[in-house]
Formats: sequence, structure tokens, C-alpha cells
Amino acid sequence: MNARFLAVLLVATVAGLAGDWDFDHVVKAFESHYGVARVHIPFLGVANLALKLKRPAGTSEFHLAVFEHLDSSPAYQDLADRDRLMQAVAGHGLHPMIAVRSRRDGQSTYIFTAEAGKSTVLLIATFQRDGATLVQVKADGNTLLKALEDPEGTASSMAGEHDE
Amino acid sequence: MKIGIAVLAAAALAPLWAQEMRLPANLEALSIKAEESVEVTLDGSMLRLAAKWLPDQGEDAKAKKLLAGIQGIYVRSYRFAAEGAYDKSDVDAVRNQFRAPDWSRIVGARCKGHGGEADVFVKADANGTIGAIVVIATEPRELTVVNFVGTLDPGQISYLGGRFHIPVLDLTSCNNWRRDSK
Repeated sequence: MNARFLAVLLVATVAGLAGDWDFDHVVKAFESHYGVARVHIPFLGVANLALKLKRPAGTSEFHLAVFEHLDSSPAYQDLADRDRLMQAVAGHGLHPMIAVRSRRDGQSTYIFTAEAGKSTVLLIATFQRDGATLVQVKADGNTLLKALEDPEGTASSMAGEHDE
Repeated sequence: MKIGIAVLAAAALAPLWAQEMRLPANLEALSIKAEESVEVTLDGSMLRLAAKWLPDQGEDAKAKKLLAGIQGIYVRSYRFAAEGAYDKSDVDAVRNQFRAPDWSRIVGARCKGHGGEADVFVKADANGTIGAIVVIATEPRELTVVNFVGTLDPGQISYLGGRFHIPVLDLTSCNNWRRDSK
């Protein structure tokens, strides 16, 4: 009985780590590509706990990484370079769903999906003029639809959760 | 002949290349030239999940039923800062992919007023079952290609116009061409 419990616990732990590893993998890819470290966000852990309790907008998990001063990297304003970066981080169960780019305002938004049982994991990468944001959330189908119809608005609202 | 196809779409090949958007390299390169671009990739599992959350009433219900037979939707939409940013031969190269014996062009619309062009190609098996529909729509500063893969009725594709960044392209009148989502 104890052995079975430990086995279940081990599987759950590995599965949890695997999910985190996906997000960390992307974060590390960003850090390596642009030569910057993610911004430390005070109380992000508290925000995550609050999100888990509130479950806003059909989301049940929340991971966030913010990168600033990316414009110091010569490659940052190159939209094709962003495409290559995002293509490189895809895989590991992540599938590209939508990419929106605007050369006029220098913004790009990418949304990847991964199946997670009855839910879907959304990985949202938003590039702005001088900084980028990565958000990973577990979302229901309604949130998925919203993200599909309004990727930039969804990305903005998701990334803004930690500011509130 | 009623051609109320509300789409700017293109695509739908055999499932073999359903997994990847097999567009010519020169067309993909246009995304670099485009001032704004939207690229949507929806495979079967995502479509089923999205369909599950669509309401069971009105136009949503029609779209939901249609999605049940679709295995993939792939949208590439580009808007350019100025006319002439893309070469007509780039689009011709895309159109030429769908003139193999397996494909038939069922719509070829040209609007002189605003220079818009739209082509709809279908691929059917020996029994006449359509497995893919490709819509290619262009305007002087815009280019959209949409691939639908799956069992489809071309007459019903209009139900998806305005969803998933599939533009509305009512070919009954040049004035009704519209790219915006609902």
C-alpha cells in the first residue's frame, strides 16, 4: 500500500516537474538567446497562490516570466529572429496555435498549446518594443477560444494579472 | 450559382501535409515583408476542444457542426504597408500547387474595383468526397491563404468566416469582401 502510494507520488512529482520544465526551458531559451535574466517579481508566489484559489477566467495554473531591456540585444527587433526563437522552443508537447506580428509597433504575440487532460496549457509569449513576457496557464476551452479570437488582448490580460 | 463563401482561406491537402503548411518559401518570406501578419494553426484536437465550447444556437451551432468534420485549419494572413510589396508571381506559385489533377478550382473571382482576387480549390477522392478546400484571396495590400483539411462541404465554409481569423469573403459582391473577424 505504501509502495503504491509512493509510486503514485513519484509519478505525480515527475509529471509536475515535467510541466515546470517546459516553462523553464522556454525561459532559459529566452535568457540564453538575448543574454538577459528574467526579472525577479516580488510576491509572484503569492499571486500564484491567489490565482489557484480564485481560478479567474477559466485558468487554474499560472507561470510568469518578464524580461526587460531586450532592446539592448541587436537581434531583438528582428521579427524573423523572434520566429526562429519561438520555433526552437516549440516541441516538448507544445504546438503553435497562433502568431500575430506587427512591424508597425514592433509587437509580436505567440500562443502555443499543449494538451493537459480536459484542459489545455497555453504558453503565451508577448514581445514589445523593449521587453517580453512569457505566461503559461492551464485554461478551459472558453479561454482557449478567447485566446484564439483575441491573442493580443488575452496575452495582455494574462500578463497583467500579476500587477493587480 | 450561389457563391456565398465567407472566407479567405486556402489549403487542405491530404492529411500527409496537413501537419505542415506547405507553402512556397517565397510566400513564407512575405511574412517578413508584411506590416502585420496572423498565422493560425489548428489541428484536430484543438478544433474539437474549441468546437465543444461553441454555443449550440444560431450560426455558432452551424459552425460547430461543420468543425466536427474538419481535421485542420491553417490560416496565413498578411497585410502590407504599400501596394506592390508582394509579387503577383508569388501568389501564382501558390495557386499552381492546386492545379494538379487531384484539384479543381471551383471559384475564381476578380473584383476590378479594389483589385481583389479570390480562388477556391477543392480536392476530392474517386467517390467525390471532398477532403480539402483551399482558398486564396488577395488584395493589393493584403494576402490570405487558408487551408481546410477534412470532410467538407464548400457551401458551408461560409459558417466559419470571421472565426479563427478566417476572413469573411462574400463573393456575391465585391463590396462584401471583409477581412475583419466577427
